[in-house]
Amino acid sequence: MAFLLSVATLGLLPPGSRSVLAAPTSTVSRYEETVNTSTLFNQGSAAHDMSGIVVLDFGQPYYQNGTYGTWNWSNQFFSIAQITAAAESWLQGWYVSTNNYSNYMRLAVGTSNDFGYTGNAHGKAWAAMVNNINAWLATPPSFLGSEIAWGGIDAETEWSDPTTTMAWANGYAVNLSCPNGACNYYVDYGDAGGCPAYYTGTDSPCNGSWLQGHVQYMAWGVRPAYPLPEVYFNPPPGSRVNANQWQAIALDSYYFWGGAMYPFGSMTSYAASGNSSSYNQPSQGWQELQDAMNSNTHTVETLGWATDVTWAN
Amino acid sequence: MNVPKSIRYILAGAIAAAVVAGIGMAVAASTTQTTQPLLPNGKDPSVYQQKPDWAQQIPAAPRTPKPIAPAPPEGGPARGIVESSQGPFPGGLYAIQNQWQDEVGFRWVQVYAGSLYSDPQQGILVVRISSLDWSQSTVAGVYLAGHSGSLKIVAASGSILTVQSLSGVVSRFDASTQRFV
Repeated sequence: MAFLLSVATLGLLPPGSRSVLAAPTSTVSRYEETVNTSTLFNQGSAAHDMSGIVVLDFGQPYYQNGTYGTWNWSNQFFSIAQITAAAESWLQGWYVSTNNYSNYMRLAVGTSNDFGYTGNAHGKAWAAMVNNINAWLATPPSFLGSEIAWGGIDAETEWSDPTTTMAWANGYAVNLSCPNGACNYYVDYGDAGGCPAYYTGTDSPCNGSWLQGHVQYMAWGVRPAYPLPEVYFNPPPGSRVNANQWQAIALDSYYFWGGAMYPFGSMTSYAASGNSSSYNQPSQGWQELQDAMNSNTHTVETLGWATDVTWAN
Repeated sequence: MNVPKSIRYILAGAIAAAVVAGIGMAVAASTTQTTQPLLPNGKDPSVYQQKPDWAQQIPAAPRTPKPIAPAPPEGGPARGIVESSQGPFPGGLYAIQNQWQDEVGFRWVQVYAGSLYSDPQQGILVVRISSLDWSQSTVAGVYLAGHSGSLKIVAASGSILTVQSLSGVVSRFDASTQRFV
């Protein structure tokens, strides 16, 4: 009987509860290795029939020659000005090519917490950059009826410590603004590495000095943040480790931090892995997270979006 | 009817289980419909809308480009040893110490030195090859060194890299042929 009572209290749904909704068509996100505006325009144009969210990740936070930006995987510095022009080119390519004005695109301009200059000042600069991109979108003729820019951070527990990473989020929050409803939110498309894949009843440790509460703060607790969890690894059948790690944090959020956390969509890296069978395909990642969130009455939702990231530029 | 106490407990438990399972299945069935989350204060419901209500009020603009602020061109990638721990991998796979990159045979070759994240004693080199314009990239190989700690690239001569493990073991790796030499 004690078991049954605990089941009711925790809101567990029967094992095997599974949504029968189909995964949405996934969008193509990219690890960008260029800020060439023609290339970015063409990428946006190629995505013209997509709706939902696309992440463009430009690399780790960096500071050089008096300006913030990123240090890219091609080992070169991209300034805020270059990234701004690149993102605007992508948005322009999408808008002038889209054949359906009812489509709506959220473009998340991303960085990471992969050491470098992760911190408060970079977060402020990143949010200001996203504000400027949205101001450009709003300039007549306004594209804001069909697309918006958000920030993004690949916050992983294996990289910078939580204090440094949360300082980035707090800096970003300083420059959160919502002119006419167009808020420059950010998506956390990072991991919950090392976090437990089940609800423990406490704020449990993850990798390094990270706790579940730190992950929750980055993805949800700080006002501009919305979670777009990595559901990368294709686990043994029935385990769905990444999805369960995020659902456990969502449930912790319900019990300890004023309300459940609701992922905005799922992010996979099937294309970036070279279509490795060790990685989830976009629909698999979405389904795992969807099933995990709907395994408990306190975290029930329908995930709206799925995106898969590629190295192809 | 005189039912033994133990049987009554079992029956009561079974009924309670059926009630809980029934409620659960009803909720699970409801998830077959699109379900909008109940958000706490401070979180914006329009984020979860396919198209936010406020955006619907904005008339569609013509599909004509508008000026973009000019930005300086790319400065070009670094060459040689780069003291950056950033690698193109999920954080849970490798802990990178540093890297080397250069053009080799009309392609960019990058060699990342470090260890497995799950086993810091297991040194690794990861080779990634990209087209000259970085439009295509692939991880060409992952090479395990001895179990003597994380690797670091300490010198480079052409494409021959000198690699040292945390415990001091030195080896040489040819980035062009992807072999220890």
